[in-house]
Amino acid sequence: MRLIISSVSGEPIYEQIKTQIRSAVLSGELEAGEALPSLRKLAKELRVSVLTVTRAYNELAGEGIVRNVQGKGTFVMPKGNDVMRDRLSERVRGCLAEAAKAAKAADIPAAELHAMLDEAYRGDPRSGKARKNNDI
Amino acid sequence: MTSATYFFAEMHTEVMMTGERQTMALDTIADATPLALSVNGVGKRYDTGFRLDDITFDLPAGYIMGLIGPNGAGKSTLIRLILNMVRRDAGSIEVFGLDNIKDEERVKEQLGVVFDSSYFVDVWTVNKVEHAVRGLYSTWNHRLFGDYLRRFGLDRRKKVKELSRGMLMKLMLAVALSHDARLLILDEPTSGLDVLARDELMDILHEYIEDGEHTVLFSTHITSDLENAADFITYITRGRLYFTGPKDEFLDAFRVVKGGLGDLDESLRERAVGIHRYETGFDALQRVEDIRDLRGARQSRLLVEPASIDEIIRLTNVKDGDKGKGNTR
Amino acid sequence: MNSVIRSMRVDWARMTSAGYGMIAGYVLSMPILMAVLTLVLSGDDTVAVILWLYKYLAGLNLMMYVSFMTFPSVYQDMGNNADMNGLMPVSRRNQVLGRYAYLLLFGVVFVVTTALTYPLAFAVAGRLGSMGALPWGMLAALLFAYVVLAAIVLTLVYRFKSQTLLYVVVFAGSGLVLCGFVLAARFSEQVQMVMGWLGSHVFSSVWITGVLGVVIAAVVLAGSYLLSVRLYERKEM
Repeated sequence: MRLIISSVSGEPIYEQIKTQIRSAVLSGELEAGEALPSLRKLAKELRVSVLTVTRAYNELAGEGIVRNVQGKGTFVMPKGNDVMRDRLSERVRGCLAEAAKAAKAADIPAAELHAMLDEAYRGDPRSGKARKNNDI
Repeated sequence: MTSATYFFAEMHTEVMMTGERQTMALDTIADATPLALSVNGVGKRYDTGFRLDDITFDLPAGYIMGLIGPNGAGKSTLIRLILNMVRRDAGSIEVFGLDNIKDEERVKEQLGVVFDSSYFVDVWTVNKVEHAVRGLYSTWNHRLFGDYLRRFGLDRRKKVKELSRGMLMKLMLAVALSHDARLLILDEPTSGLDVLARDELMDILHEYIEDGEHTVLFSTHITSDLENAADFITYITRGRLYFTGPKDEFLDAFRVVKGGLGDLDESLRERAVGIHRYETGFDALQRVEDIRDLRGARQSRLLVEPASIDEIIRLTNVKDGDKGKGNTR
Repeated sequence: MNSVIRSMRVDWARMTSAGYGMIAGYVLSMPILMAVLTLVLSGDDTVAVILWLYKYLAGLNLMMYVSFMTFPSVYQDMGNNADMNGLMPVSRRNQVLGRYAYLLLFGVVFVVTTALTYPLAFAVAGRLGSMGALPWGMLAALLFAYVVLAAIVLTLVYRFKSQTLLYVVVFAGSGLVLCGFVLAARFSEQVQMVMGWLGSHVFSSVWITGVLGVVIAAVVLAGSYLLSVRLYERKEM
């Protein structure tokens, strides 16, 4: 995967690293069990400090996205794990909240909203139009 | 180092790490790694009146530490104290656990140094330079030196006096890197170099520390080189230690408050560490704790931004008239 | 011991900064000059010429070898090479020891080349038969003078600017030798008398003279070394 860091974006570098790795894992681009580049290797390639990468990796481990194994490296956690699940649940709730808000604004009743949800879950082509991208 | 210790101006405040995540990062380092360099209470007094006082900091092995501060702050003096080229009046210095005076020869075998000007006889050729230095180190790697010469584009037949400033720096670097030195000390290596040369240097430093066994102490007043790459910062100004610790903590401890001149009131002046006034407004450096007190209507007119290393240095060295009362010096 | 050798290697690199030819040139200068001048100046009184030339050139040679003590330092002052002394994994004391090792080494080279020049000159002039014994007394005196003068100059190197010292030793030294010879020639009778008196009253016993010479040289050498170390350890680079 590619990691692109901007030193002028104003966002702290460790945050940028976290965001990009997190997206890659959640989208499946980085698979469970895959090894991330070693701390120092990544620091060298991005030309940032080792502590910055350490912080990013440690915080991602705290979120359950990856696991730091002493002496071996950092590995992507399977998506089904608890911490990640909680995180993803949060995101699902967020999306649903937005969908509910939009439905209310459009005067769409709750029953119809439920039906739409079922279609989307089944992978009904009709629901594809409303979806902008495949990212959750 | 069981907790990061920060020194702000005269106050030696022990600031505990807030947030579990940060503690995790630093404790892992503190417990696991040996110290490449340990400077304790070091002082030096010159007849001219210039003094270096009570300098204390640690550099764990495998990391890059930026030694920063304005010109004349005492950075070069500190480096010369580490090398025992000038004698210290107080304190102790340990390199890889060895006393830098008692075990001077063993320490220097593992040290690579790049000064801001070449330390070779100017009529020597690059080849002669190798002859001169290889006898000094039992670990001299002739092949590796040759590789560096090729990589840097250094011609063995060229005389030292014919080399440009950038080439001289690279030559010193090639020498420093060819005897398996575990601690690399650079004293203003990039003054006078263009951006490309400086980028090349940073790449080499990253390569150097990649295996976790090699350490870098980089003294400079061009802080843009260190903004991204430094793990630790030791900030010295006017002969005193202002801060030592992880770079992120250094940056996170301050904010820059910007506004129009009309917004610069007494309370802002009270809290600021240093203020830079200019025609259309001001920049005020504040400690992050003090930012929370900025409330009210004023707050919407003011811009609060993260501070860069340069801004912190500049605003902690303003002339007396621009000092805020938040700066205890 | 190892680190003293390291220091000597660096000093060697300094002394040969202008190439190995320079050092070779210096060392061979007396023998070659002696041979050439012998051929040019000799005639009927070849042996006399040889004896006279030999003393004069040996005196100049002495000054040249003494001036070698300033060489490493002169090159060290070119650029910031003095900084290298602070980077080297060699303690200051061992750096000084290395220079004194050179003092002794050059002393040996000096005596050997000066001694060999004597028979060389006679051989070149085709008068090997008239040579007689090597001038042992003179060689011993030269060695003594070298050790004392070189030790003094080496200590001065740690206090004063080497380039200046080099000029002083070379010019003042040669000047002194020249003056000495001119005066000795003018007042040759008196000189003979004094030499004779010294020979029978002061230096009558070879053994006593020898022991005295060694002791004085050793004391000067030791004192000079200790002072040099003191001066150098105090130095701020």
